[in-house]
Amino acid sequence: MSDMRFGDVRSLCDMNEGVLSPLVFTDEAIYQLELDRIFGRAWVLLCPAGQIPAPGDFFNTYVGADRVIVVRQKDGSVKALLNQCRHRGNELIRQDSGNVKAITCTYHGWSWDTAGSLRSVPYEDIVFPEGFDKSAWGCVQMAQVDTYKGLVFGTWDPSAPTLIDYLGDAAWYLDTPLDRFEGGMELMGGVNKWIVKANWKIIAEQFVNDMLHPEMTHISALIASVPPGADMSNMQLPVTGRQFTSPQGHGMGLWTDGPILDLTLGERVKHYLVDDSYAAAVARVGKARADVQAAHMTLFPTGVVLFGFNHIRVIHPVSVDESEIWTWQLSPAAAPPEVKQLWAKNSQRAFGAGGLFETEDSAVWSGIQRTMKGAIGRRHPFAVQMGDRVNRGPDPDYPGRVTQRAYSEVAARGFYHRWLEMLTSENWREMDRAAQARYAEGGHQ
Amino acid sequence: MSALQDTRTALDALMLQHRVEQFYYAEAALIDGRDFMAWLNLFTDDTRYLVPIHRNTAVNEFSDSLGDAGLAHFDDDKSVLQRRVIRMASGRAWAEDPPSIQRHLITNVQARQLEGGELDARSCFQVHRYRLDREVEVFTGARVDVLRPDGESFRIASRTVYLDHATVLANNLNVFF
Ligand code: FES
Ligand SMILES: [Fe+2]
Repeated sequence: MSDMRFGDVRSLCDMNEGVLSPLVFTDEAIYQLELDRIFGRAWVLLCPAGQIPAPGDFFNTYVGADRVIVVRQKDGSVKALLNQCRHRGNELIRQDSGNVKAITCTYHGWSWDTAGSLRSVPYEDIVFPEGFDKSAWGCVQMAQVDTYKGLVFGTWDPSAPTLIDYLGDAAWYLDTPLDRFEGGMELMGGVNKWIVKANWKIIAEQFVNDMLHPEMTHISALIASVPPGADMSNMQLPVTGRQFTSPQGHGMGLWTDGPILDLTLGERVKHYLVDDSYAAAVARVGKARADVQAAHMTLFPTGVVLFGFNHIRVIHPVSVDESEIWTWQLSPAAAPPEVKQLWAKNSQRAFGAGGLFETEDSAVWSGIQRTMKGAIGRRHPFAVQMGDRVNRGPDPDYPGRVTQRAYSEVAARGFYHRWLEMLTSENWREMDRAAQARYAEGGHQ
Repeated sequence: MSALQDTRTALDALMLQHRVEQFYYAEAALIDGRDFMAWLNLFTDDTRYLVPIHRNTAVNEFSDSLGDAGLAHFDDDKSVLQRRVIRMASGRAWAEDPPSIQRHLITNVQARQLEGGELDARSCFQVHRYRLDREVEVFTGARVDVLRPDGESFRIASRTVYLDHATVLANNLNVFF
């Protein structure tokens, strides 16, 4: 399978039938194709804007497997530069974050300004006796960088749609975690990073799709979080909610009810969310969004948002069977200081490398990857078939394609539909045509 | 100061060092033996258990970079620590079923008497964790504790754990340090 052609890929992912080959998680040729055709073209979440507030502030990240420096410009805009010297490829910045006036290579000393223009070459007159056109050797940079309500995204593809078109209906949902509170959201500290020995899609898929697993996977954290003496029979996870999917592959599940926030964030924070700030939120974003208590979302391909917990994350592919998860914590800027702190702390206690809940997830993700090492474990497809297979029409309150339950696999199918379209399409017009066909009347979902 | 007093001071220091080391060895044995409830009892009710996150910085920022990411893997009071222990003891923490085999090696112990009777106690650790057939993970770091005398022994009134990793090179942090 190392000579992977598009016809072969198509046979591995049939979301009309809801069957998915394990090979999409293990094949090196598919992984290399993803780096090029997905991470080389999609709008990828880079960081919260609060990570680089002042001119010269930089944040060192990845887009796919490429290292990228996100840097705040003098005029307040943001650029994303490939972290690679144009002379002979040395890494330009090795710190995680900081502030720079110039970016100077530690090999031969070529130096760029924060906009990525080559400014100086040591001994220029001597080493280039016939002259040198420095303007031709600016840093490679992302073609488009844009911000949506405090989140910075970038794409290498100049022909990609604008960020707001790329987000589509997902932007409406994103306003719940990003714009629900007067005064916006504030970044609480730095980045929580850890590795997971699993293909990036196994992780991204959980956040696009999987509201079903907590009761099984996270039972130990639920037991540990129930107040002493409480009646466990009331602790069933709620059924009130929605699942959302979109032509762009973004998706989410949301709850409008249930005990999950009491158990994780505690009474004080929950009270702030559903009482103290509720009326203002209804006025600001409307009842449907103000009612969302907890939700998981993946912005295709690797941006993750956990509503309620105020987590922003990105899943970096490291290799076909390993990923890094980076998590930022936000809190409502205008909330009382003790609520802000408690919110951040309790969210971190639930999710992250040491999270009461998430330690179980990473064990499952790496466990999935382990079962696909053998020929037989890669031969038989997985079932991705839960939820409505045909669309039941629009929801009165929630835009886009939504199901009436948070438990479904419609969003996973939407994710893999888009994954295949992006992998196999030559251009965005082709991708859009394919998406339109599946969104036509009677189309599968 | 008389020679006798000198000897006594030296002996006291030696005894203190010995008691702190023995306390840490006993603690490590509780964790490695998965007696987490007994381990939890080593902490005072007003304890704080903090594992801050490290960041790769420029050289001139390094001294404050240990844990300066402003975010913590653990920032727990006793009740949260207790929840972690209850989770482990629930029999349903799948990530620790089958249990990993852990070995806490404690070294570089330094203890100093503080005003008011508590101790400033520092130590380094290496934790070796083996899980399933071939998963091996190694954590190293340093701990800065405040120990409160409790009879012949101590309780941990606060612990800050500095992990020697900016990125956690492990599937999870199902480990007590
Ligand atoms: S490799 Fe960077 S200046 Fe030569
Ligand atoms: Fe989970």
